[in-house]
Amino acid sequence: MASSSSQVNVHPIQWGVIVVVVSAGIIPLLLGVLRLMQVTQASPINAILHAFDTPLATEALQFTLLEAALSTLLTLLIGIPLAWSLGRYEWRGIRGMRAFLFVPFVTPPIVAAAGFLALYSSGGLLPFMGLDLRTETGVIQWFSELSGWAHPGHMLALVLAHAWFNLSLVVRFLEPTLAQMNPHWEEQLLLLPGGQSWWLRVRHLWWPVLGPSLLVAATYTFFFSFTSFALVKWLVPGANTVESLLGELGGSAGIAFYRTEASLLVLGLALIQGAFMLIILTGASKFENQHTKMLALHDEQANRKLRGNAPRIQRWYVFAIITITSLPFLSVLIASFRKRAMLEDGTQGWTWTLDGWRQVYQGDASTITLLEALGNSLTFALLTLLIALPTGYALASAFHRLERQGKRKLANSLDIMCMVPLSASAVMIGLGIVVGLLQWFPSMFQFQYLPVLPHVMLILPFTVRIFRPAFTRLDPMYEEQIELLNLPLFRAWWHGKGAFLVGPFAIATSLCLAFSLGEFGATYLMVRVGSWDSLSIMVDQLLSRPKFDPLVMPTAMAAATTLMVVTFTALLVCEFVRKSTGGTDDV
Amino acid sequence: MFELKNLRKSFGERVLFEKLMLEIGEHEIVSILGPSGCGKTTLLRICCGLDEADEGEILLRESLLARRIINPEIGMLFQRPVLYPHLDVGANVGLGYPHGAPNEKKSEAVEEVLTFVNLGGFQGRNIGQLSGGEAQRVAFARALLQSPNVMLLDEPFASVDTEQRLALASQTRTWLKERSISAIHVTHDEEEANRMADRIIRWSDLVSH
Repeated sequence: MASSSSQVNVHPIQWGVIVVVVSAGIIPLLLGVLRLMQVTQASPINAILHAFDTPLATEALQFTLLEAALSTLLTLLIGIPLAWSLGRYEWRGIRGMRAFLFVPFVTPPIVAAAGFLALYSSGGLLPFMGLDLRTETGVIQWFSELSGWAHPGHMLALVLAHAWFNLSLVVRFLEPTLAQMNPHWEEQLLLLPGGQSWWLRVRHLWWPVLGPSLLVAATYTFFFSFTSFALVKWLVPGANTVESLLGELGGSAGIAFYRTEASLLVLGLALIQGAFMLIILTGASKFENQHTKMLALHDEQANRKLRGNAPRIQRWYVFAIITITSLPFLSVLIASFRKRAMLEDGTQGWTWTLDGWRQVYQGDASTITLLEALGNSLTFALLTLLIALPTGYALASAFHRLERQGKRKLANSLDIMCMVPLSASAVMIGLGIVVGLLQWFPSMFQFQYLPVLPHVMLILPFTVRIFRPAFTRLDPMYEEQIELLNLPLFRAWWHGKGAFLVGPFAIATSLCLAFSLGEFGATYLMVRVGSWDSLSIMVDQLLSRPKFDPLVMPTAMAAATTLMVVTFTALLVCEFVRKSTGGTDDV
Repeated sequence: MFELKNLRKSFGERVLFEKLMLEIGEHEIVSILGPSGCGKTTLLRICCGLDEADEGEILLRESLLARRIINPEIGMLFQRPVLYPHLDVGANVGLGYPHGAPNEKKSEAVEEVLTFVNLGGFQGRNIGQLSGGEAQRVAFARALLQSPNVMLLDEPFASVDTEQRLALASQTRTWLKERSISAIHVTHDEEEANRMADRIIRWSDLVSH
């Protein structure tokens, strides 16, 4: 297709953006490793071997692998029937159901932690139903004594929370494949000897078609459970994942002649975690490529109509999961208005109160007030948006132009280099900055917007992922026509590209805002040195207060409710903009 | 040898057909000629057990077939060839190889049917590389490997151009006759029916509303 070279060549500014982004992703991590090597005088291999010799580290690694495996298993067990029911039958309001099931995934982890804490704690729904996962009495105690497992309740609490968090991944990857699968594939196989038994149909049809989607969902679930921080911190007292141990030790790492043992452990664990994550993400990327090939097969609406409504048992199952999905949110809200109190008859009970809201508003139990924390969070989120959105757009546009020049391999290689922060966890990025940048350049301690840096680094790969396929779908015909019309720069951009990218812009905006508002791991490490509390840090600080004070929980839950409402409002506004401007769904 | 007795099918208020009677003999090819949307495909789906009739009986060699149970003696070729993109040509055809038959002879049997439909050497080909006519011949080869007693053909050449369609119809007739397979072929194209069938029945003569 004919196009002018100016439209296809990568602009020098875009090259500059690529260099800055790749450097910003790699340099802090490299500096972090160098700093830790300098203060410990140990090579990476020695640090890894030392970690494998340290019980604290090996226990954390074992615990991480176990909880991630169990979380993945439970998520798939719940998610597969859910995706099957949603994908194969006709549902009124299927888009709304899908959107609601996606909400946990964009919920700030600290809000999820607070929600599950409210569900599991005394006065919560689960103890009321006889399942005490927190203090492990009753049936959990019985199971613990029978099996010899020290804290099965804590593990179950964490695994349930991870399943809640990652369920949307199974639906996201499996449901469209099921919905768009050619119905004749199934029917034809039934008529052939190769499809006579259940096992043969699984072997010849279901596994080849659904396997890649299932494996993508499983690897991502494993990845997010592996790097879980806020949920582990609050639901599993006394145990650590590699991520939470890094978060715990990270604050004192990288300082010369101070707790060298901690620095050595951080270096070893970070390298082990990095290696694990690289393997998991490589697998996920491979499965995702196979999954993409299986998509867009048949008209979804026609398929659904063919099968009609779901059987009653599947309808009940879907509604039960949707109800359960909403429980942590409701628990946070309710717990913000409820205080532990001594009743008139002398028994321990609960009263309704606004004291928690009053206390969080006045900042009586925290270093700053609710509005100040909200202001900080919004400032970080808006700055993240202002940087990540145009940068992600510029990167995706540059990669697209390289592709149009026939340099697909170069485009993909640069894309992978920009993805480096994604292969490191939030805590590792935070550590990279704290240990890498701040220990080498202490003057950066003064920079109050420092948390924006890890937020941008972590969200950028997602914005590129959103814009890149959108660019590929753009018809160059529109751009070429605009060139011939000699319009002013902005109008030319809008009519040639911008108007077709409203959907991706809205989705990238909502992800940037939601992610930055809820980010916990990296901010947790940053604000301890910068003392700029965001809402998620405020919730964490409030939850950390001694629980003998009956106002601790309602105050923390009021802060969590505020963060939840602000995040969902941002998502809703973006969704409204996307729909009202005719943005597409298929991003 | 294959008999449909008093079949009735309705969708809600709409009666698609009732008191439908049809009998086909050993090695006979019958073409049913009718307009699109009249219910021809539904009839074939009922014959092979993918759908269920409201009333009536289906008999194969005088044995009553259970409702909505797939019978391995009946094969079906859909309007668009149903080939699995995750499998190559050989593996797609191999799905028709009888389960439990010696595995070492599978490749030989697949090559034999592919050669029979003039696609010798196509085993390793990717499904995406096939033309519409080739894809339908692969589906046909798979149905042949299954060795059914009755083959149901649901406008199998609709996705290829006119010239190829008529050539394929003639070839298919030859292949069915060589393998002594009875068939019910439905189409809206009279010329295609003429090339295929021993006997042509108009849909309107088959059903009473």
